[in-house]
Amino acid sequence: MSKYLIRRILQAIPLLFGISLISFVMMRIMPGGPLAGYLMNPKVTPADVARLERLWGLDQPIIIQYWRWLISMLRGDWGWSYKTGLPVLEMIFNRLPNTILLMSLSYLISIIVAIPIGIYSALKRYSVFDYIFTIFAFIGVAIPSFWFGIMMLLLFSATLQWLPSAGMMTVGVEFSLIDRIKHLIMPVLVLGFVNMASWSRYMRSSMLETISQDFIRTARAKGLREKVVILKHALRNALIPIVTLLGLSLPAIVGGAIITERVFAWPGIGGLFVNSVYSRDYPILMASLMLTATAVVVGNLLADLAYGYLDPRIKYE
Amino acid sequence: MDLTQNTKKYESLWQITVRQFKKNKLAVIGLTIFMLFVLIAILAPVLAPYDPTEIDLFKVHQAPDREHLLGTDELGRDVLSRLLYGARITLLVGVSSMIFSVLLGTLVGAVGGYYGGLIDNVLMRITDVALSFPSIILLIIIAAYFKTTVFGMIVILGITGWMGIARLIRGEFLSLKQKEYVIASQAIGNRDFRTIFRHILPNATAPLIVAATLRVGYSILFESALSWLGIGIKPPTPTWGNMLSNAQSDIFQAPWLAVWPGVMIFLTVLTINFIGDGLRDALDPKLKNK
Repeated sequence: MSKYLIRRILQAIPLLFGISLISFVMMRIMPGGPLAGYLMNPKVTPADVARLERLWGLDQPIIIQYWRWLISMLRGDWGWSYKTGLPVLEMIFNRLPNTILLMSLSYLISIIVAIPIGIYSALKRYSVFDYIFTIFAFIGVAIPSFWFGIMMLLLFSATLQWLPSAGMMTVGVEFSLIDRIKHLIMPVLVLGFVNMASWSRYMRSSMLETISQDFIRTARAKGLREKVVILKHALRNALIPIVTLLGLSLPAIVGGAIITERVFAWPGIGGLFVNSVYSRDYPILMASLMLTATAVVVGNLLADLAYGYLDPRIKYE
Repeated sequence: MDLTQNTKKYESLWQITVRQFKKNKLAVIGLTIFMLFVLIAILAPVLAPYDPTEIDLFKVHQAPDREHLLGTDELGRDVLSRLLYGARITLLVGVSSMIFSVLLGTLVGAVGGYYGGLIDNVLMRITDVALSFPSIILLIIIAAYFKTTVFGMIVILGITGWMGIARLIRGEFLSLKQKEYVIASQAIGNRDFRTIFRHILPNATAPLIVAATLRVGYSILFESALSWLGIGIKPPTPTWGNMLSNAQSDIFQAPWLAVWPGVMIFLTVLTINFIGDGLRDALDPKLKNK
């Protein structure tokens, strides 16, 4: 097991290395660098721009720039934002907890909603309930999440005025849990809606496959109560593919978080990322890209490990 | 008894597919609505009551009335006309970028799967790297750097959407290349190009058609998200996505702006998914029994 873990981590290193090199080069060869804004400004002389270029090392060949970035990043120095002058790590870690809060709550709610729906749909196949949630799943996958967010705003903020429209707390009010929850409801639902829809479908088909197998018939033949058969024998087996799915869904959730944070002005990494793309803030961009890629690699690894835990027949060596 | 009646009519593969497809009601409804949207896109100049780019600053943010059935936007442009013309851009981008992705993905997958070894390894590692980023992140970075025209958008969506298709085709090729007819094709001295495209690829079309159909839906969703973020196709060219980009800030003065473009995106993607679902059942009877 530990051997397997070590091998997987060793495999991830070249992958992350390749990702960092590709994104670094991709960013630099594209038109309009971070200094483009200054060139328009009549108060900034070409000499000033050249000095900034030297200071940020942008006058060096790309490969040397990359080497410098790599070395300092490995030492834990992720540089300073070109735009604000603040350390990148500080800016990232100021916002990261907000994004993690949003993402993990939405993950959790999606699982809590999707799994029971999937089980029930499978057990009552072709019932009214099953049809309703089939339609629900089609809607969840086809709806553009940003528009779904805007519609929620239109209904719950603009019309009914039940929920706040932006941010994570009411301005000028002391922190309270109720206030935070009110701000969380819409972003979490919008981010989770796609997953609720698609995971419930996967859960349904996985459950259907499991309950048609021989060991379920055996369990019933032994005279076990239906509840035990479903929840103890079938569920655990049906969950195996779902757990992998949870790990593989991570990139989509990170992507969804960018959109959701934008709709609800949630102060997370997504907004920081979009703004740094606009201003070509390379250090912030590189840091957020590497963070995302690492999260995806770790998500895949966790999915594989969970797979092995749930299904003891699978041995990792 | 008339003997000619006994001659059993054999159906072609195409006929079987059409017959199976017709059984799926949702897919037929989806196809009908989708064709309607295509018709709207083609007939936009005839149907649209106004020029979609005509600015009228005296009629900004007008609520829907008899003159402007869906109201006007922040520059006084007629929303209905923009919606109709938007169908052109959205469908064009969705379908063209799908073709782009399918060509690229098929090429990568076919070459990797057919030759195997080092080539396959390199191609698949590139695919892995490309898949390690959420697509929207890749799209935002690439789109932000280019002046995005309609053609640019098609290319960008095309080069970020091929990975799934490459994996699918590679998987098909890995199993198909062991088949006797492939070995026969190689044995009679056909060039690899011919073996790949004339003998193996036609046998992988069923899953490819389904994946390609669903790809159109994804492309439309991504295009609308990018245009909404302001880094996709820019006004005055109307797309359903960029029609929504100001809708949120104007939600109190002009809530009607936010509704229809979204409904159109949603319905288009929904019908495409219905069609994809129907094609899956029709093309692969094995899957249906599962």
